[in-house]
Amino acid sequence: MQIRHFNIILILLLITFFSCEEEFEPKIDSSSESLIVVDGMISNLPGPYTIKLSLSSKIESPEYTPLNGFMVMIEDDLGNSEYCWESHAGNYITANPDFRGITGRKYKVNLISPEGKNYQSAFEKLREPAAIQSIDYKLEFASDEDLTYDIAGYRFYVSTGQAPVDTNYFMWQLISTFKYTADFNIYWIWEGYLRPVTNYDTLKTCYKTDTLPDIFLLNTENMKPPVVSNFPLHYVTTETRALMERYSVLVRQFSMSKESFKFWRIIKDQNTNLGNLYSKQPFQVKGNVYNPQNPDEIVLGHFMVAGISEKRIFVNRPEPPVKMRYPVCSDPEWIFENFGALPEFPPSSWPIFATIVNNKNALPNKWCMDCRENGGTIEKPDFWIDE
Amino acid sequence: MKKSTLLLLLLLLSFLWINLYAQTSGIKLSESYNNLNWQQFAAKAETELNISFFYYPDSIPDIAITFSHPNNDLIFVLNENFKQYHIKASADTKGNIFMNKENVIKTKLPDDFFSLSMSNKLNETSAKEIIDRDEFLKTNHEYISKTFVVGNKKAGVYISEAAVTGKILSFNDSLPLPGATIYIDQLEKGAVTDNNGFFTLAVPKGKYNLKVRNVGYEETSFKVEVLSSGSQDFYILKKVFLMETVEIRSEADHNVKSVQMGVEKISIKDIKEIPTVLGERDIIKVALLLPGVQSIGEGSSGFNVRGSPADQNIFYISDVPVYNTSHLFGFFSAFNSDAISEFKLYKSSIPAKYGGRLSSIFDIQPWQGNMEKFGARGGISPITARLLAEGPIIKNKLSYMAGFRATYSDWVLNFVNVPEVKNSKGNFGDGIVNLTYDLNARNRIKLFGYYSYDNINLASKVNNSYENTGASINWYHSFNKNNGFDFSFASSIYNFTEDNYEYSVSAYSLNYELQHKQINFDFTSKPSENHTLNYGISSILYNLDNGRQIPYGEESLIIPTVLGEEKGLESGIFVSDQWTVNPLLTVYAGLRYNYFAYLGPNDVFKYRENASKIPENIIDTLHFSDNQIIKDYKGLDYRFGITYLINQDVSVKAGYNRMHQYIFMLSNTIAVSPTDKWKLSNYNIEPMRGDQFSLGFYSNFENQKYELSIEGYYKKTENLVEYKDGAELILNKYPEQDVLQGKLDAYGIELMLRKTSGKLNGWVNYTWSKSTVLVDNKITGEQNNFGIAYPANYDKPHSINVVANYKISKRVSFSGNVVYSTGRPITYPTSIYYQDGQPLLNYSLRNEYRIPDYFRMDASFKVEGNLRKRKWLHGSWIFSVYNITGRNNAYSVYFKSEEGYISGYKLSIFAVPIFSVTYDFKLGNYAD
Repeated sequence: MQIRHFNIILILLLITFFSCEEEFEPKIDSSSESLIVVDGMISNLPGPYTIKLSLSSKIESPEYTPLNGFMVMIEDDLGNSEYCWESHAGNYITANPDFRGITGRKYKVNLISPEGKNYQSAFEKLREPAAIQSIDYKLEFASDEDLTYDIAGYRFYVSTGQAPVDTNYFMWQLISTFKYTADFNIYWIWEGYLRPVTNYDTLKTCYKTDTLPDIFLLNTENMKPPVVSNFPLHYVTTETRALMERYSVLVRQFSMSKESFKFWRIIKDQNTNLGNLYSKQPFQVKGNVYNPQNPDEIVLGHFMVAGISEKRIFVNRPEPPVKMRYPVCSDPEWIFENFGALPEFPPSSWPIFATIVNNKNALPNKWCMDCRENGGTIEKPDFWIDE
Repeated sequence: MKKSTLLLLLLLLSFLWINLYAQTSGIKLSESYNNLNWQQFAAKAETELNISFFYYPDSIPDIAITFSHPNNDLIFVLNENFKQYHIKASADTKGNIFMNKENVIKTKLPDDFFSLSMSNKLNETSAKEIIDRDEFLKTNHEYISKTFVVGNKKAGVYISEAAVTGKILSFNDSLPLPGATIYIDQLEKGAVTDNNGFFTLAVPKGKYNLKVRNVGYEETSFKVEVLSSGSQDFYILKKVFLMETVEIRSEADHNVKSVQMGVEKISIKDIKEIPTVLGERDIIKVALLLPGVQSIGEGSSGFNVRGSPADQNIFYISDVPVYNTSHLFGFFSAFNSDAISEFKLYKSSIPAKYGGRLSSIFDIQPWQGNMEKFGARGGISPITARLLAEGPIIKNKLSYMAGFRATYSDWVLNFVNVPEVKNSKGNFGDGIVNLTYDLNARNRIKLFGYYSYDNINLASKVNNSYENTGASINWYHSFNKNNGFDFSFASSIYNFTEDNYEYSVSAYSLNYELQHKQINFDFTSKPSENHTLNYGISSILYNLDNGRQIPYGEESLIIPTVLGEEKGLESGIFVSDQWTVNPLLTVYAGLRYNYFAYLGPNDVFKYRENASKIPENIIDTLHFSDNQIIKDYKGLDYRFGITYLINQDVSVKAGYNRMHQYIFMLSNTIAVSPTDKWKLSNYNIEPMRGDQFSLGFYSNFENQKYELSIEGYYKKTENLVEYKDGAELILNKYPEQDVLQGKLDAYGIELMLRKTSGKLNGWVNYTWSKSTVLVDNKITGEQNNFGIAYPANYDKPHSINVVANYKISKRVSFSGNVVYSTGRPITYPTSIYYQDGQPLLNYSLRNEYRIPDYFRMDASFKVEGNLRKRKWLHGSWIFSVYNITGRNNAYSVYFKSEEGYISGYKLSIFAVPIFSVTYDFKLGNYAD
């Protein structure tokens, strides 16, 4: 190591070699008080709109605690209100199926707790969304110190057309769906007795949909023309099965107010950008919902009023020479010529699938045959288009 | 070499004298001499009995002299009292008393006796040098009592008082010695030389024994006969072979007797001994080992003095202010330690001539060129190469010094197999040059220039570059016996640019520039013996260009944004007096009147009164033309200090300072970042005001070997500028909309114990402190942290520093330090909530928690080249290990939500021991 130290010139080097990032769990006196959390939105897209109410939880035991029994309504600046019904605990959805946000109007949320306390947000204008012009993708390589090769993957880019006046604050949320397969076909099923499977590819192909945790933000206030062109979004690699068959991403673009933008910018800062030399001071972020009788009462979360436009893109598995590097079931872990051990499995683990590899009966891990074990579903989504 | 030859000769002579002179004096002591300690005794005897004592001051312990009648003969008494110390007193017929160690030859060989013997041409050289230094030979040593005659009889006929002016110079290189003390025991009177080595001393006509002291030099007595006013320079000799040893203290009894408190003075020798990071010596890292000086963490620029933010310190190098004092984001400081002779850090007792910063003044003195001969030195560390040259242009009149440092090994990055690093580049450098011109005994002119730069390219996404450029001219003039004048003009420019091209469409380039021009007129006068007056004026013109954001690259759609310029004039007029009320009590009092004008051209917003400064509350836009006063602020600073000597080794001091500050740094990050901008107080942001009270207890013991001090302080700052939570600052045209003004309270106790001499020396200090910020504007209702006071980011209640140097042999020394402090405060998430299925962090009150405590141990080992006298180049190697234990000290702890889970992480900057080697060289032999 010492020879290496002589080479250290740069801050980056300092950080790369000397600095060290390790997991650390400090002792935190988790606040015993739970705060009300609002999570809701109205947009120009068709309803119903959902407002979720919950309580914050202790940091060492994160859990979602819904708040039920509230009266929830969405109000506009013309004096109309839309009531929400509690579809399940803490989940309030607009009751009128025809209710839809209208661009140019102002909206706010109004909550009344079972104890009669009132909470509300300030009116915010529903902005006309800027259209997404295109979603593009590029094959890009990333390096990782621990790997001997460069990681390959697709990065997605968004471009918008000219945005309407006063639409400068953008957020993108991505919902990915990918098609993938399990490595082996199912030829046998054991459910107390062994039977052969004829439609052996039933559990072979799945579709998995996730809302990506990253949010992307851009402010075009200082840009002329105020357009978004090739703004980099999510990066998906060949390290997982995501790009195995076909990948799709729905880009949802929010045109929002400066205040909402600021809320999400701080949330993003405080949840991702903290491990560097010049971190900002984190602080408790109050949401935009407050108690008019007691403005000091802290309500977390955000009721967003946003113009939304969406665009979906499909990409296929990258062509060679790009290598897929997701883990595969290369060798079944147990090979049974005659399934003699199957009766020893308790009924709770049924059904047990088996396959045939190299003309031998084999009993690999379940996820090698049942694609649902990797989190997907075998139902093909409505929007899915194969080539 | 030469001086040791002399010593030898003189010691031989003194040996002879011991045998030659009488063992009784015929002087009988009265009872009033009984039980005085030695120094009082000697002083009293010299005034009353018309005798003079000659001795090595360090060799005589300050014991109480006791006697009983009838055995009250002076010499007998002395011999009786000092018998146990093997000190013998003897007298000649002219009233000169010599105090010598018995068997002096055996016990006190010159330190370099053996290396001396190795030199074969000893006699020839020495003889020649003795002739060259004939005057020195006669004057430097006590035992050869050449008397200096100042003035002439004619001029002195009608006067009883005369002024002796002159310079104290180093015998070795003829450099003037600032801070040297001149003292006349008979009169209990003394003077301290100024920055240029000048002194003035008003005395009645007569014969005196004048003692000169300076750190690192032999204390020397001169016989002086003053006939009338006149000038006389005195040369004193560097302590033999103390060149590279650590002399922690400046003036020997500074700790106890000076009226200043909270002032740290560190010379380059100290800096050289302290272990380094990556082989770079660093004055700021040394400062961090002093009590009351903290930083946020490793690799953060700037420091915090006594609980104040980093922007309340100012760095002056030869009157040039330096606004960014760090290289590579703060891993190294922007001062090449080779080109520095010493620095002073005023934590309290800030003299009235300084203003404009609430917390501290960091005053750096550059190295001055040798007036006698050419010299060069340099070094190479894993990071940089250094070179310094100095020498006379006109011998003993005009000298130059030029020192440069630069990173030399950017190419090394290419060998690192990490793509991100491979694509990164970084380099920095700095240069210090100066010219010193001694026109005559009364005038000295200095020209000084400073430059530093940094270019950093991070992973081909962001370029950061910044530079400081400064120059100054300084003229010192001594009018007459009691009046001196110091004029300086300095200009300094700090600028940075940031190119961010992470996303080509919004790629931008951003710049910033601060210009600071300062003029000082500073008069010192001594209207009477007990008063030293300092008065003058100073004025600063600030020109700030807040910069513009322009598109970077052809694809960028960024609209150029101009953030505007600002101008301000800060002037001060000051007067202070240091009054020695009696030998035990000294008082310092100063006043400084500040006037700050925020000047046009500019447009400013007028906000609704008593309302928060947000766009909705703007009621008017005011336009101002060039140099029109937009807003002015007046402030009166007070400085007060008092020192009371309980006895010669113990004192109590108290002080009070009030300061005003008209410039501050805009920062919303925890550590100072390289793109933080300085801003002026303006129409909407009021200047800061600070008060500091301090009280201390000081003691030297074991014959000045140990120094102990305990200082307590309480500080209050009004109008501290803090960012509103969540404010973005890069493109902030109207900062008043994003800041709030609050209060800072800080208090603490600093304990410091130093050992200043001996083979083992160094210091231990412990500081207990608190620093809290409160932002709660009752009128507008605006608050940070819900109006609850929170600890400042750098608040570290307990801090311990140990610095030790051990000289194993003449050529080998070892040093080490240990640093401990409480972890800095941090804001932790305390609960979790969900938005759209994603867990988010909800944070605690600001700085409610602390990161783990900090602990570090460093060591370095220095090996000097051989000690041969005749050599053209002397080299030394320094091997350093930083963070020996490899402890993963936390720089920060943070939490991320990753795929639905919240994980905590600890980031450490230097998590392994870092070994480095530095090679230093200089022309000539070890002692040159």
